[in-house]
Amino acid sequence: MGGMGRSLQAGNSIVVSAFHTALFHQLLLLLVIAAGLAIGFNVVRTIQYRRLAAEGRATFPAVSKWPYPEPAGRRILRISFGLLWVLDGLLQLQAAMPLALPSSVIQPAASTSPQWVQHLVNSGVSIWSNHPVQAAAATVWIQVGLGIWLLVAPRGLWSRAGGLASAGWGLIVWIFGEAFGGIFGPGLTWLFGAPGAVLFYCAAGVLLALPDRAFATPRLGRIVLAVSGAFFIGMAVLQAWPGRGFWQGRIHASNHVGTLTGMVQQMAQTPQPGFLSSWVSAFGAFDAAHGWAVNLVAVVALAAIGVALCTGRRRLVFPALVAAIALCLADWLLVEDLGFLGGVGTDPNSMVPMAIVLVAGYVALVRVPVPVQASAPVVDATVVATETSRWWEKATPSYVVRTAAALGAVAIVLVGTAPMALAATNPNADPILSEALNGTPNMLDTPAPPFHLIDQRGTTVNLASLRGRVVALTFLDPVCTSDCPLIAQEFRQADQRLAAEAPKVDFVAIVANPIYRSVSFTNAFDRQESLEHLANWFYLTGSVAQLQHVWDSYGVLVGTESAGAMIAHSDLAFVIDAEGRERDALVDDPGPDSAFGSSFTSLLLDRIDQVLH
Amino acid sequence: MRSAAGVRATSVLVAGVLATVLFVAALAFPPKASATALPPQLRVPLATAVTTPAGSWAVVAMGHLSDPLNTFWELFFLAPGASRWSLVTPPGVADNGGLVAGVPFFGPVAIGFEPSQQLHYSPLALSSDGGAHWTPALMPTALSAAPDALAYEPAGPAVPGRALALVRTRGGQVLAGPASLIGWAPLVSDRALMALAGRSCGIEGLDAVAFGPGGGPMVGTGCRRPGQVGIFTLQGGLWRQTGPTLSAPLAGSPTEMLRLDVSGSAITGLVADSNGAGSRLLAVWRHGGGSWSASAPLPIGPSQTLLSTAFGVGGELAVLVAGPGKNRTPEEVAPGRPWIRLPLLPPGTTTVAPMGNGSIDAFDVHGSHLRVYTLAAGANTWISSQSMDVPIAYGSS
Repeated sequence: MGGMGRSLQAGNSIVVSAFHTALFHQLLLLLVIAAGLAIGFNVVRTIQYRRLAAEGRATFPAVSKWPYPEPAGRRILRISFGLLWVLDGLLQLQAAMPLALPSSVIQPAASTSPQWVQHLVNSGVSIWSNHPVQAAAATVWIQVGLGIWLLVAPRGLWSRAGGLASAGWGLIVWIFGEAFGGIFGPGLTWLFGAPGAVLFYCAAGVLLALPDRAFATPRLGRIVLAVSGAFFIGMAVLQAWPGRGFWQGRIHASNHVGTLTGMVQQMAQTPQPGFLSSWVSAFGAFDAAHGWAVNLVAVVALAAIGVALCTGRRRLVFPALVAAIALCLADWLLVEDLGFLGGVGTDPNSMVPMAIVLVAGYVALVRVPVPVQASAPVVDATVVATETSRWWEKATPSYVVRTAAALGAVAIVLVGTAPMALAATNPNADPILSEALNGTPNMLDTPAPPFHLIDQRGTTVNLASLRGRVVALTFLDPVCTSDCPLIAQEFRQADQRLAAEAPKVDFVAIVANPIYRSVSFTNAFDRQESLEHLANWFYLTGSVAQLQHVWDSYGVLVGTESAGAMIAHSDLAFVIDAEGRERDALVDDPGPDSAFGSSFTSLLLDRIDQVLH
Repeated sequence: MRSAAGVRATSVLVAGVLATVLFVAALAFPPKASATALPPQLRVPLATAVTTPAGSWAVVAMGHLSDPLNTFWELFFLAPGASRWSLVTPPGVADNGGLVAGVPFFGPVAIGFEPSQQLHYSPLALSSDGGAHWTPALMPTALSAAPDALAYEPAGPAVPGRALALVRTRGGQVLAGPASLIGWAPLVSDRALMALAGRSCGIEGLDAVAFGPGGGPMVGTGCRRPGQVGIFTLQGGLWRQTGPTLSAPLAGSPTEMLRLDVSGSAITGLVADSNGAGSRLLAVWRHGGGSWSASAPLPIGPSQTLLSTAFGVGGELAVLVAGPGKNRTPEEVAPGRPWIRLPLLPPGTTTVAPMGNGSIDAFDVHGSHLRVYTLAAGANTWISSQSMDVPIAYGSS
């Protein structure tokens, strides 16, 4: 019945199945690409061996273009964030992601932000909502690909490009997925993960994109720690700011709790292992009883860590680092509740990446790489490659392997990026949403029941008079407050999207209200929905007896309810071919948001297209 | 001399600190909300009742009152001499946007549906048998969300029936229509009324429509000039300001016309004004072309909200005020009498209705259950007089 406002469950089997199918198909594509890369690798190696054999050599020259090994700080960032991206990608495999991510993760994150942030975030949400399967699958591959890219490309342009790609994707996720980490919202606090986990991924990506020489002195480590210190001091000030609810565990002995206690209690409700839930609950109870003391500890710790990091002095930085890591881990466990539980967790939240950045900054400060020349000979003494060496002599086996692996990682990213880009440019939602909500169209091939009614212009219209054109038929209540105007817009959009083929199709609605059914109402409805100027739009009505006959013959239920309810009627649409035969019966419930309406339009157009051709 | 890299690093550090300070400042000093002319608690509610010699009508909000989509507005009718109210809500349209009633002194009653969700115009319904049967009609645009947005004058022996409707435009526009309520034409807008007759009032939006005792269209407006009551009447093709000019201490600040009712030859208006010192309600009356009289002001505190307004048959006017807390305080006023505070009502009460016999009925709503309380004339205790369950179809819009 219309107006019931049905919505999809996050685990809708049709969508989940399509998600898994898309992932499987993309995996097959990646296997083909991997096979291609393996063949390419073998071809290169074969050429190399033949050339070597032709010159009577058996081994490659040992060549190193790097004056020192990969700096330790950089290696920590690269491997840690590579693993984090892979983990995030795997978390995106959760079945609830296609449908639940916008409503359960993105929109709540933006809900307390200013209007302009919500508008910006909604533009991203609409892409995801319109194409949930493509977007969710794309996110899996992009994040897994970025992770592998960072892991397999340790040095050089490939590695720096990986850092840049990581920062770029991180920025997209930070803006559209985390609503700028909530920094424009009123409840900003370090304890809840400000300024957003992915901002640390961006920072790490930018550091990895720097040239190797940036890590050659302690300066970079000092800068990282100083910026982190300033951030900690800012967060301490914010944490200490009065009136934000952090100084109270329980407010005036009432039932209201302080901000931190409320957050912790909420996190304890997340589906998770029992022991974890009990820890989080226990901390919530502790904070409710000692909110002032807990906040004091947080403020003092943040401020002290911040000041110590800003000094850049090793003897102060090291204990500050240890304290920061301990604080991060405690917060991660007791406040952020690990971050990735509950079925729609997308990452382990901010504390882990923040701690990694701090450690990398410290290591970059204290462990400056030692040039290779100073400790060991660079090359095999017997065969030294010269500047005039040919490519097959420069391309050592490890170089070829790493290049092939990096290319494979880029391919994984591209397998995700390409459909995501296509989805972003397509404003029309995927038909699968409508099918998931309303079921798949029922294919028919029977004569369509005839009707003989008058249209909004007062002209008599019957099915025979529409012969020769495909008819998209539905039933609309002209004074309906919810579904019917949305369905009418879906028909209007279908008409627009048909473009040159529109003259071959008529869009017909029959009144589904036994009381408000006169031509004045169909005209008022047409004006409201901007349908009055469409030449191929017919809104038909007649006597109650005529309408009842048509409703009965098309199986449309129309019921009058009392006490201020609107007319209840079936949301059904039919596609009738040019010979007057019913070809498809569709449920056209517009669903809970515009994505479903757009999806129905796509589905209707698919069916019309099938009948037209 | 410092290196370029050093300068860059310092710049990054300074920028980071500045950004942190800016975030903190932005959070510490959020923008302030702007104020409106009339405080929200004095916005006139759609919940209303009116009694005429032909019976009593009440518009009552029911259902889940905290959820607008599941708040349904029900219409009840009590025939003269009857003891039980009947549910007579017109079928066929979702009324969770609100109902407005155009109830003439005698004859058919017109009901308008306020737009809701995706419906942007106002279906109408007409009944000449106390709501037993309804004839659909149409307002091709949106009725204003005001209890006096619709006025109906039935056909008489020598005059055709007519209707007036106040519709939503920037300042308001009045349309005139036939007795069938199909086929409306513009009558006057706020700008036109201002230019024709509204200088001394300083019209601030149109608030209500009615047919005057002589049959001429009447429009109630807000007035920017203190002490002016915005009632305008079309007489002999000319609009004239016929509302009174209040004298001190009643005249203090700009006024808003909350209600306008014509009962036989009597006109009753409910006026609100508000300034820094507070808000207050004032009733004005005129009988048979005589001079205007006014009630004493009824102060409305900042923790109080106007829940319903209603007219009796002899110029009585009742209001229901919520707060502070869960209190529901009914107040009644009549020509020549002060405001009388009636005994408190249960917290679920949403509407009061002055009846023709001097008694008052009150509608206490709990979801789809309705209990009617009656305060007999001269009594000081509300008595439960009726109870009914209304078959509300939640989620049906």
